[in-house]
Amino acid sequence: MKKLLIPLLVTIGLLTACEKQIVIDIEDMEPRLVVDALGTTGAPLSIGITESRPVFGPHTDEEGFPRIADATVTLTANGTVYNASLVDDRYILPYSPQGGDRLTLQIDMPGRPSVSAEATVPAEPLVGEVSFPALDIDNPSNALSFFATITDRAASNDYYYITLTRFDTIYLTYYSIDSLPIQIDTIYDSETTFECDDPLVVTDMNVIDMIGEMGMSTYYGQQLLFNDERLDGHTHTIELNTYNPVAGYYYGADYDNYTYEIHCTYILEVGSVSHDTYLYLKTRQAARDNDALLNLLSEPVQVHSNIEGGIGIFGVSNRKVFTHHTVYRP
Amino acid sequence: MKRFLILVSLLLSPFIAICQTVSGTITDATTGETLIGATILDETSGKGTVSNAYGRYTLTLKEDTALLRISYIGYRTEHRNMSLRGNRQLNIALSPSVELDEVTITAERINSPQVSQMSAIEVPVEQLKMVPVIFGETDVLKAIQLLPGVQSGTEGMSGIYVRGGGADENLFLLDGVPLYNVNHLGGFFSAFNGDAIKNVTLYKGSFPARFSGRISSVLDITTNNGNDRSWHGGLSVGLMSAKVNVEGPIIKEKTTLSLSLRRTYGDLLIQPIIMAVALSETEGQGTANAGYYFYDLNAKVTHKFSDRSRLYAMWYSGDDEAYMRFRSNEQELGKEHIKLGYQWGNLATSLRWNYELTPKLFMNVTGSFTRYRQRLGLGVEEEWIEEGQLYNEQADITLRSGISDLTGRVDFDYASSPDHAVKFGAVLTHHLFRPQVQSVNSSATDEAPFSRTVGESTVSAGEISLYAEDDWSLTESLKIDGGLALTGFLVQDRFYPSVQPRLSGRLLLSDDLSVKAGYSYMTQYMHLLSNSNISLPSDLWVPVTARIEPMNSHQVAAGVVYSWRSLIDFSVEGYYKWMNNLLEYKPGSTFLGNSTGWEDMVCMGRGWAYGIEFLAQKSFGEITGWLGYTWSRTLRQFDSPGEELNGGRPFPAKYDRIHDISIALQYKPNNRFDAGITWVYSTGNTATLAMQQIEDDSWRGSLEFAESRNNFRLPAYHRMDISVNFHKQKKHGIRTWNISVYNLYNRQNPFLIYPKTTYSYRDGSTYTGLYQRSLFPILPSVSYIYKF
Repeated sequence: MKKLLIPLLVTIGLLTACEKQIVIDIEDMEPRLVVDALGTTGAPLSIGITESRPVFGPHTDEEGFPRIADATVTLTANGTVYNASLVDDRYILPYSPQGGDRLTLQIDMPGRPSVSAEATVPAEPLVGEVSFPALDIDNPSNALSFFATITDRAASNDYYYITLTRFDTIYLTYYSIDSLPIQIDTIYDSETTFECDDPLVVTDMNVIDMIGEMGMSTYYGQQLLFNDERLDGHTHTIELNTYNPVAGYYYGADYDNYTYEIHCTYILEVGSVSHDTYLYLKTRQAARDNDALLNLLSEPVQVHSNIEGGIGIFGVSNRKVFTHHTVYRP
Repeated sequence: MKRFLILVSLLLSPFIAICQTVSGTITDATTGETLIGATILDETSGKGTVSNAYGRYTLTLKEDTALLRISYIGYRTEHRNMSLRGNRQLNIALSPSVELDEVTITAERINSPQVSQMSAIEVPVEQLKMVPVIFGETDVLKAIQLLPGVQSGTEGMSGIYVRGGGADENLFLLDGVPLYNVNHLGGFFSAFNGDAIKNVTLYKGSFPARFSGRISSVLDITTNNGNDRSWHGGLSVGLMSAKVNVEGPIIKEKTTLSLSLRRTYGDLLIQPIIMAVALSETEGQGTANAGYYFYDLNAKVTHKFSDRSRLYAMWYSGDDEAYMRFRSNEQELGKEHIKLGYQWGNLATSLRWNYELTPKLFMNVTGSFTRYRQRLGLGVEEEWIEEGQLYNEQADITLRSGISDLTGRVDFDYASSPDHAVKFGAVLTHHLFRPQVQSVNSSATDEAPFSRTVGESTVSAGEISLYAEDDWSLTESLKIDGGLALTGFLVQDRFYPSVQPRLSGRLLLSDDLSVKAGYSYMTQYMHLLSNSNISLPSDLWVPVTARIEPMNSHQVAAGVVYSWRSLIDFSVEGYYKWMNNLLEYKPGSTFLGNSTGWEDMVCMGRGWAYGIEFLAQKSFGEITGWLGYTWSRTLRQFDSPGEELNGGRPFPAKYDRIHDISIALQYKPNNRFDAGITWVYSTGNTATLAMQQIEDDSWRGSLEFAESRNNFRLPAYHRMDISVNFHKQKKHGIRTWNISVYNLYNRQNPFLIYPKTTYSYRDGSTYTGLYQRSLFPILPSVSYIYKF
């Protein structure tokens, strides 16, 4: 037996893998300018500029991403030039985007090559009827269904997102032992998650790219991002469901010395984004979900960038916002 | 109408000429084994042909007399002077020319100026057996990786990448039956047992019309029929595996059997260690068993009804199994039984009937079945006594998947005239894809049993192929091999037709120099889903669907072949290949254990590859071998809106290796000793590597950014292997000791790269470096072979 084990042990010993460091070209590790310029219609364009840091090499615990505060940022929108001013580490441009605007962003810094980017503000999404559900606090496990009807433009590649957020304000009155009312107001800003199992948009993950957790045929998350491959030129109603009970539910009737009102505001936002923004959001989420680029069991992720000479994204979304306010008084 | 008749007459003229036909079978005089590719040349007319995959030949001549020269590498050339009044049947048995004490050997030629087929490699099987390989295990696929235009994947793997194609774009035929998984042990060994192989031909382009279904290569492997005169065999014992093969006549010169069996035995060797550990850990109350093995069984029965009729029955089965079982019986805790098993493997079988309908028309009818399947099972059972009552719980989970094909085909060889060798036929295949079935069963005391199965559905598809090809000698120097394949694939109520022209031509400028060119269009109706960089048994074949269209490729190639004094053959061949509907997985996709909805995880694009291949082969003398060099590029582009990879810009494929060099030399001074040495070099693979981190408001705080897809090139791959064989004539046979060394100078080639961060306690800093892990350092092996 010993004779048989000797070649086996030798083989196992020889198979013991060897580790060796690979030398990387230092030029690939030079820090780059990173531009965060995602804007939306109805708000001034705000741009953050930082510096990247090399993945490989020495690092310290205090190391962050240096803010760039000495850049000259100019935006050309339809031939008009706007200069940015620095406010709280971000460059604010006195420009309010409109659908169809053609934009060129230029960032100059002393001692560094300039970076630039181009973008076009997409047309406003054609959103028809939007319906909000009535609150059903007594049955929190029942789905609250939201509907948004979108008409896609034919003969163009369009990209959309939908978000749903909710703000709750609870007007709580507490009656003390001497029966004097004490009013407490609390505002909850809720990160609403929703589900969507629309067979046209969700079962086909090739068309609808989800940001959030993915089920086999149901989207569950906070933002739905999709392109119009299947919707091209059609009108379609998308249903979103949320099961989140409003925060006030937890103030139940067990507490006789409380009374309350719940003022609930739902905000449904439907936006159009540019092709570059769509790719950036999609790949950024994939990178967030992917633990390592070199993971043997998953495909590598490459975050999209449209910044010439740098890294990052420049894009403006064109959005329509729908708000629904409701009050619940038990 | 008159013009039409003239046209028809012209078209049919080659088929209605008055000629005599000589036909028969070429065999080995000592074993009766049919010889594939033997040359039969009429020296009077200069017309010739070669024997087909069954050793059959048909030579149609206009003259009344013929001086036939029959030759085959390694055999004595035979001459026959004969008068031709009517058709003649002529079977030739050639005697081996290499006797034990001869010092000059003759190697098979990979390419020669006379051959009209473009981009085809006649793989020198006998030479390949001298090529040093890992663990001393002769492996056809690994040896093929030494030829120009063929690249290996990852270190040690037997996958092949031909002219920029993917690993799933190669059609592996074992006696004409496709094999879907040709890997054992994750690809370190191929499914082809070298002892069972008689002939190997690799087509890299200009594919004959009779082949279809893959877009990059066809590897056509023929196994031994078996000796029809006496019983022979061999035994081989190496570090990893043992092999045994026997062949001989069941009915002398009528019915033969060839049987080869190979099995690894690492699991048997390691079993005592595992058992000892289990006993120690459980204080003698538990037993354990774990291991891995694979086996191959090749069997072939050939029956000769007459000179005109033969029947072949072929069987191949090869399975891998990794398993772990643990059983304990502890008094306090009760009984526990855990078992985990993963099995995968191929089964291929065929029944083939050859019949010479007329001296000019040879028919081959085949029915075949091939299946690849895998099964992963996990079972747990517990039993204990509590307050005097016996409790039992058990659960098992099973994942199954596979593909099976049932095929019927009929092929004809028609030697219509001296200048035409026509082949035509039809193939009908029923594919059954079983993407993945998951079943869960559980039961427990006082609980109702639970059973659930999902994914039971199968995908059924039909494939049809009609083909015709003609190897046409327009003049003595100009030959054209043209053909057309009409294929169709029916799946999910959608039919994908394809018209695939094939053309290959050779212009012989002198006896030693020829120019060749070719074009082919290929379509592929299935994809291999793989979510890793190595070949895993979980890789899954799926069909094209209503959404995922078939892959196709156009390839043009041209080259020159020159033979220097018939001693050294030189060939230079350039190619350009366009590929459409290629699949890549979306960023971040993973397919592990999930094949449902795979269409949503892939995107489609195109690719192109181009390169120049150079080959110099020395076929005669004590030292034989070849030098191959390939310069090539392989690029991909995925630019469908919203589905872009690399921002829609072209990027290099993973196996885009610009330079690829291989040198294989064999030295055989006598029949008691031979040695082989190989050296390979190739540009490193590409990988997507993030060089920069950028700020992100996610929980991680940062994201890694890669400038482009496959932006990083790994260090170059190179390696040298040697092997020596010591042969000795014993009383009943020949004994051989094989000693080989893989990776002689211990090159640490990258198998896996990954970032690694180290922390310094001295100053609290960290350092992230890029590291590689190598798989095989210098690896000596020894094996013992006895042939009788």
